[in-house]
Amino acid sequence: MKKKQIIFLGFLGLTAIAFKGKGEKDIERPKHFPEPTYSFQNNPMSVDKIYLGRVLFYDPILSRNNTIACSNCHSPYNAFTHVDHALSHGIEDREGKRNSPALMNLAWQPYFMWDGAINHLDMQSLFPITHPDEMGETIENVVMKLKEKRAYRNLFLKAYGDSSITGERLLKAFSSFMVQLVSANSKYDSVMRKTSIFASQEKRGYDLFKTHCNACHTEPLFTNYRFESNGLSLDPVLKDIGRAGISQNPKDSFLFKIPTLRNIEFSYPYMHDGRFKKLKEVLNHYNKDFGKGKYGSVNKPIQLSSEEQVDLMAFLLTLSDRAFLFNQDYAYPREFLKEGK
Amino acid sequence: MIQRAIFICMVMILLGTFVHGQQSLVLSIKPMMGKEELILGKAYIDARGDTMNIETLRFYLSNFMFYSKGKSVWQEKNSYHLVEGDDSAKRSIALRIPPKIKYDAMGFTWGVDSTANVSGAMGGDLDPTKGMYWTWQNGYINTKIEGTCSSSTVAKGSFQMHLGGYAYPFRADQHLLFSLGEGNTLQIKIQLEQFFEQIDWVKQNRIMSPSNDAVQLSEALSKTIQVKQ
Ligand code: HEC
Ligand code: HEC
Repeated sequence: MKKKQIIFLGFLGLTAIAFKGKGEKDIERPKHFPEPTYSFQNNPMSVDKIYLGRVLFYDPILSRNNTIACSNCHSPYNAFTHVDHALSHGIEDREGKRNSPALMNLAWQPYFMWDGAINHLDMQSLFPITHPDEMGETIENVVMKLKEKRAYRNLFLKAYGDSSITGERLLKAFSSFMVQLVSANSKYDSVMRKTSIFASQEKRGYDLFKTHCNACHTEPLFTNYRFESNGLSLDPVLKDIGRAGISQNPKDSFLFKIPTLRNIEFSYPYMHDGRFKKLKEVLNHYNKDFGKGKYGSVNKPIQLSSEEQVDLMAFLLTLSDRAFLFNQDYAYPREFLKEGK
Repeated sequence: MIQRAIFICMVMILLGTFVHGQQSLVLSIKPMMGKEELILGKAYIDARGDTMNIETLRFYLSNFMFYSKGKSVWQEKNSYHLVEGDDSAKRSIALRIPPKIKYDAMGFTWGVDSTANVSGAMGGDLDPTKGMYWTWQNGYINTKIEGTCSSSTVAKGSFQMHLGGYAYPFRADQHLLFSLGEGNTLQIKIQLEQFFEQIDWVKQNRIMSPSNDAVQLSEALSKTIQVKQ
């Protein structure tokens, strides 16, 4: 009798150890960043869940005809944006209405999309999966397709302790992977950590940046996540009214979420419709047309000399984070997607 | 010795949940067309002479809360119930109220409250695979009613109502309160015919996002609800 009890208790203890804290993994929390806003308490991170999210992110099984993965529009070597396409390309080469944003530091972002249509990272993945011009699928069907694959049942088992696959679990796995995409190891960051210093040109650029840009592209995330207009003219074909489409408030017309400038060297083309291919064109815009929009801020063209523009550019390049771009933890999970199925 | 004590405690706790039976209150949800309980796919002639055929009826009831003399005495945890018009099992809700709780009123929400709408992915009846979450914007659809109506002018007389919205000024969830006597069954009747009579079919046959119409129709719908013991 006594022996049995001990075995029983021992077994309980072992399972407790096995399930508690196994492979728990927090995100990188840089000291010079504020507290992240993602609701970690509802989605505890683990190595296995993050891996599941990563596999899903690269797997075209998510689209109706199994051709398009998240990574088609969010490529890791371009800070997870869609390289070379002004407007993102989805299923059957359909063109979307907007440029895909670079994905990074999402755990700090309070809402998502250029117009803030999505209020929580967990819900973000539903949009591309179901959008007719992106992946054209239904979440119900994605869950069915995943259930049929033993390899996925195994991954869900590892990530959640049992192999049942639900919409909630799917969405939370995506978030687990996406919040890992922390970019905080650029030259700028090492200057903030006092392990490096700016070259004099970069320093001059940094000062110009603080004068002209930091009010919106606020350090250290290089956005304050507000909706603003930087004076882009309305594209007569797309007729994108921005935030007002969601808030239904005319005052929000032509306002867009201020994007981060981290890794800006790699996340071309620029702006919500990808109208600028080069950073130089962006600076030209701020130099001449900034603040000319009917709505939004009361800014004026910044009118920098060409030397100053070069300085500002030198600073913007210190926001490139190669350790982030080439991080193998975020890369295509070859071992699973090639063999797993 | 200590181990034995722990073991016994655990067994007691386990048994306790079974032995200490709970009083349960069974709510049967009855969508009505006139005096008849609604059957999906069946043609009805309503009071205005329109022929109605309802193909989809799905909605959330949530946050069941019980009161005694105006004070809250019991609240269901994680209280979100998706009621399905075509599934009789999903037209009934059993609430496990502890026996010592005495109450004289019940409150609930028609729809999903705003907290659940901003808290990320949820499971159970709130799982997005249930088809009640808008995907191109945020938020749950509180009520889906789809079908055909002879006087709905657009799209071959078909109508689609996806009523929802969790944020000001288009908040569509409705809070309802009913006084109750004793008993362990309740009927919640929704007088759909009264609701349909208030619809302007020419303008209101396709409602797919939070709007004034969605708020107004959600109010109208919730006013047709009666609780019978
Ligand atoms: C067809 C291209 C395409 C595909 C496929 C795609 N996205 Fe996107 N993604 C976009 C575009 C375009 C936007 C911006 C849309 C807008 O603002 O209206 C976006 C926005 C986002 C955002 C918000 C970023 C921000 O800063 O606001 C996240 C997060 C995201 N996508 C993740 C994903 C995930 C996860 C998947 C796979 C389930 C995915 N995307 C699939 C094109 C795509
Ligand atoms: C009034 C706020 C504001 C100020 C000040 C501001 N920006 Fe912007 N910036 C924005 C907004 C809003 C967008 C997105 C506009 C859009 O796509 O419609 C943007 C977009 C950008 C982009 C494109 C990013 C991308 O991923 O597509 C770059 C680069 C940029 N800004 C650089 C700068 C620089 C450099 C300065 C200082 C000279 C500056 N901004 C000052 C609001 C501002």
